[in-house]
Amino acid sequence: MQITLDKVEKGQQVLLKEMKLGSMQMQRLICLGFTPGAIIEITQNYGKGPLMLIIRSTCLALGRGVAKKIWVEIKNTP
Amino acid sequence: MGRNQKYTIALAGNANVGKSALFNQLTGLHQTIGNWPGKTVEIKEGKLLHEDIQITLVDLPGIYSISSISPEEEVTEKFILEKKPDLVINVVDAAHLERNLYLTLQLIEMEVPLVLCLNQVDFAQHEGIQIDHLELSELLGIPVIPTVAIHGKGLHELVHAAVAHIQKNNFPRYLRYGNEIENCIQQIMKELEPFNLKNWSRFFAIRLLENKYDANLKPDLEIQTRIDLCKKEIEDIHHEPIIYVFASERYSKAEHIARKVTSIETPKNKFRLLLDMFLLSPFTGYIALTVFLLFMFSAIFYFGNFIAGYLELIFGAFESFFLSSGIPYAETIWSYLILGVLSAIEVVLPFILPFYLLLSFFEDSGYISRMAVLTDSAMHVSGLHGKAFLPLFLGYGCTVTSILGTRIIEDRKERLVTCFLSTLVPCSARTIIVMGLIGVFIGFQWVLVVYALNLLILILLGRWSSKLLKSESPGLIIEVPSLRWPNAKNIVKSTWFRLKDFFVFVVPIILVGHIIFEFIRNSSFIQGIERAFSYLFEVLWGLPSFTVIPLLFGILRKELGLIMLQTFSPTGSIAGALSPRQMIVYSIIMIFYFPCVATLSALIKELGWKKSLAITGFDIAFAVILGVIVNFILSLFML
Repeated sequence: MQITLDKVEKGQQVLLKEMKLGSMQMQRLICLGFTPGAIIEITQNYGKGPLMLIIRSTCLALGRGVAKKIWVEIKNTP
Repeated sequence: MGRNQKYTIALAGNANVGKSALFNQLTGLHQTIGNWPGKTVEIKEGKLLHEDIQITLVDLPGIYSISSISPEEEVTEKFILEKKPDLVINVVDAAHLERNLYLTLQLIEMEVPLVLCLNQVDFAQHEGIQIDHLELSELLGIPVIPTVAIHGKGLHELVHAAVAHIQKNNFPRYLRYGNEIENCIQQIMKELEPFNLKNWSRFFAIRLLENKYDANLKPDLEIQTRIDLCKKEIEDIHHEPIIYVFASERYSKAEHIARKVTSIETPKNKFRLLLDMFLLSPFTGYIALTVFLLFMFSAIFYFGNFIAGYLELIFGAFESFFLSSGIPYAETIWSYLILGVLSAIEVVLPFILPFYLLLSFFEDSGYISRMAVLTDSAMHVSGLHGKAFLPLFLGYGCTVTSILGTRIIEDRKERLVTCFLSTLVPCSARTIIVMGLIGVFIGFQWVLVVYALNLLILILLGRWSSKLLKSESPGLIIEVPSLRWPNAKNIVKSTWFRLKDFFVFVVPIILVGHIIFEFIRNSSFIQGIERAFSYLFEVLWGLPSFTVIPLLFGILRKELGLIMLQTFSPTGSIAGALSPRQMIVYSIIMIFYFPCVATLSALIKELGWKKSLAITGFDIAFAVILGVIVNFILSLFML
């Protein structure tokens, strides 16, 4: 099931599926490693304000507006 | 090895990898900071001598990729393509190898001689990350030198390897994509043959396949058709838009390499994690932020005023010494030339010195991006995001620091909006006017009204101007680097260079301003100027004509707008010469009408002449209209 990134709770790992952003932001995110299939771990999400995550060994903060346009799938824990 | 050889070496890498620390360590005190023609992107240049070889080291801006999406990326690409450095040192952060390798792979695609500087290995080890640099070198096909730049470790080896690599003159082997992509690259390369791109042809072929268009090449219709066919072919095979395909391929390569050379243990201490949670959680985070901000603000102003006081004493003593020294035209030389320079130093230096020290401290520690995270939601009200908070906040102290602080905002448009707004934030000098007039003679509640009006206008203008400038909805995307204790030497060095840079630029402009105003003061123009502005002042703003000159001199230093009001008022006291309504109108115009000369020169430095003059023009027009409106409304119920 696909959800948007802002709905993911702290500590959960997800797989990136699709981004529905303008081309500039899309490019920026792709360069930072937001490619389909990339693993994202949410490290902070208080339900408001920006969320923090780890992608490709790097810690990033994303504004909620950006996170709402990134579609992901919850990764099953093995 | 030939004598007197000269090489140019460029440093390229992501932000927050210790690139500037490396640059500072290698070049010592010989640095020049310049802008790339036509762009406000900083490029630092320094020299160093290595075994008889003169090396010009160029510090390129921090970037995450080479795809021309930001001016920084464009400048980096242009520098490498046009200036053709003998070698590029790619600085990577050992703790974030995978993300850093993305740029490395792109640099390899550019086929420039490349050496990898694996920096901050001590910090990575502390986090439990070990990297086999020999294997990394093997996999990438380029020399890899582990370093700890802030402590100077591994730097000699790095320069040595770089020089040896130039002399060997070999190019790295590039990343091979899947067969279907390689096939397309070959086709495009063939089409590009007439352009005579030599070893750039592969890079441009990939660029054309990956992006829509490259302004440097202008492929004709035939080539474009071929490119579009290839793109479609690749997209069909990969089942995803082409924009993802190359990035995915590079990242899977980066991931593969990073995994092979990295061994991870659990980090030795969890203190940093706990500290981070404390600094970022909604409750404790805001308390910490408030404490830091108050500290920063008061440190800048207590320290600033303290130093300014001493400077005033010293300069005063110097003045009497100079005037009694018997130098011909001493008085004229003093008031036209020396006074301008000294007042620039006295007004600006005491405040930007602590500001730059603290800014470097917060930047190096990684706290700036945490500040942006905490204030992001609040800043959305004015159409901006978190990174604009610190500069605007500092604007309540001094507009110059505020404008120089906008450097932390990467996005050009947002930086422009922030610079624009910060000229309208009442700085401490303007606060002195508001307090000295309204606070003293009318009442503190009116001070609050004026500040609330100012804040409301800031929010509205922020929304309006960011809407006007932006085509895309804004959003925060920011790396949050690990917290670390900054290196004192690095802070002092970067503060020194920033200060030097600032004064070389700003002092001449302040000096010219001073000369013009000194000329006006000593001429018979004063009455003429008062007459010229009489309609605006007396009819539209309802202000007496003696306020014209103090208001104009506020351009030099805003405080003069209050000091000179006292000297110019016909009754010798402000209270008898201005009514409450006039005081409010005067203060409001004073807040908005013109950034002072120091601010204007900082603006020009950051944005260039055109945008600075546009902002100044807007501010003046806005103040004129606002003055008329406020005067009209107040005259309905106030004297």
